[in-house]
Amino acid sequence: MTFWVIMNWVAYASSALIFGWLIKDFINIEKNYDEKILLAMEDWDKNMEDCDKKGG
Amino acid sequence: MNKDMVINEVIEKKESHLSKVLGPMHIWALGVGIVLVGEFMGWNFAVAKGGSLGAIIACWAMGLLYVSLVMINTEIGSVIPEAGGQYAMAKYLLGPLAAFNVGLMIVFQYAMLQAADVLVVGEILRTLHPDIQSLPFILLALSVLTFLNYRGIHATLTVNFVITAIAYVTIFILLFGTKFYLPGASLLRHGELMSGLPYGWVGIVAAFQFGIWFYLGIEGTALGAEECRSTGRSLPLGALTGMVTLIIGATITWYVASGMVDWVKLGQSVYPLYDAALATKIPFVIGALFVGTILSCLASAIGCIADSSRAWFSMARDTLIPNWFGGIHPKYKTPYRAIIFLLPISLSFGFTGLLDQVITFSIFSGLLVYVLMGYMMFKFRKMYPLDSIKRGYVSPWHPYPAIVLLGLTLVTLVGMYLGYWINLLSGFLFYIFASMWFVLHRYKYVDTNSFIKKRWPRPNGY
Repeated sequence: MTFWVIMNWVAYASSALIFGWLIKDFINIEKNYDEKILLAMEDWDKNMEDCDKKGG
Repeated sequence: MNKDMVINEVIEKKESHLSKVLGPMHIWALGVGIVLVGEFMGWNFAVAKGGSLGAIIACWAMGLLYVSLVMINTEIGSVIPEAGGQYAMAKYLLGPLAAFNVGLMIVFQYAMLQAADVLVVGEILRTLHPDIQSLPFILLALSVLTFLNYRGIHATLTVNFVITAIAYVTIFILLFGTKFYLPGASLLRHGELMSGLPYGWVGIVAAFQFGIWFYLGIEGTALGAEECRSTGRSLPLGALTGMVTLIIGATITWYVASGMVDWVKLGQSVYPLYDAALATKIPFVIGALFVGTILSCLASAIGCIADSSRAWFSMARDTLIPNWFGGIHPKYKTPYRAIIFLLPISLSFGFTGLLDQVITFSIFSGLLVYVLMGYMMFKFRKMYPLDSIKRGYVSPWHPYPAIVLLGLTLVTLVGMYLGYWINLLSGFLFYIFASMWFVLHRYKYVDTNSFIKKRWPRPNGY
């Protein structure tokens, strides 16, 4: 196997690693986005309850 | 105000703004970086269509088109401080359907250019050794550049400035490598290698579309508007100095390539400047142009990913396409969903290996935008006369730039029909079907209340 053939595979492997990182980070962010929305909704519900109690 | 709107507003305020970090240098890099690759590949198909002289006529005619375009683009762009460039202009001046189409055209213009860039990187690397394949390096180039854009625009464009500058310098290395300044020792052989006008004026018109390749994408400077520290200064300074850079580079490119490579071979080459360097037989010059071609392709692809993703992001934020694409990465502050979504599109076109076809679709999309830009300039001056709204730059000699832009664009479309009528027809059908989808399905989801930002003043007469 020549040096250049090895370089082809190095390029493939490097691409796979980078794409893998991108996908992993993307999935991680999407999960957190759901969490933040849920947290915001919980805060909103609590604020609404407090507001109702105060008669506002 | 319902619960969902409050949540969206809270999340928007905390996380959703693109960072304002760009200066004139970055705008120059964003514009020239995308475009400089046109000196290293693609323009030479104009030689196949119109001959050597046809190519230089196309170069200058399209230079005039782009000077007009940049003036118009800069005036309107200096007033609209939003990511999206011509898309944002269409939004304010023409309405949702036109904005949808312009956004789509910008996305495909840059996505196809990006595909062409990485295709050339793969092909030129193959010249090193027969065992090298182009596909792994196409994938590597795309993955690295997508990663850079995903992580953040400031660092990305700073890198772009450096590699663009290096690539530009290599054009001068080739020029001086030919010893053009020594009549007795010059390597240039224009008399032997040029063709004149083998196809007459029809060939010149057919060559126009590839003359565009010297400059296509310089209008992308407007896409950095939202991220400028000072839009009124950075945008005009960066865009117009970019145009000067490109016209000089285009002329030198044609002069050297036409004098070093036979016109038939030049008209078919994937990397014309590199072929010109090979003809010098000077190892340093060959190495410089090898590096310059690759760097210019990478610089262009960086800018294309930035521009196409920001156009897609803007369309999502305006609900012209599903809002999901408008997500901003909480850490890197980049339109990460748009970046990831557009990647497979470029990849699939890059796989085809058909450089002139990919380029043609990019050019076609750009030409449609330019037609609308010419019309928008008339409308902009009518809606917002001088002194009615603060402008960072005033385009001189209106309406002549708009007339020149419209005229040359329409002639170029005629020329494109001569050589690529199937591509032209396919492109028109694509945008027609996309428009039908928008009108029949998507329009009911468009939030017309948030479409125009509140700080935009009412036009004249409204």
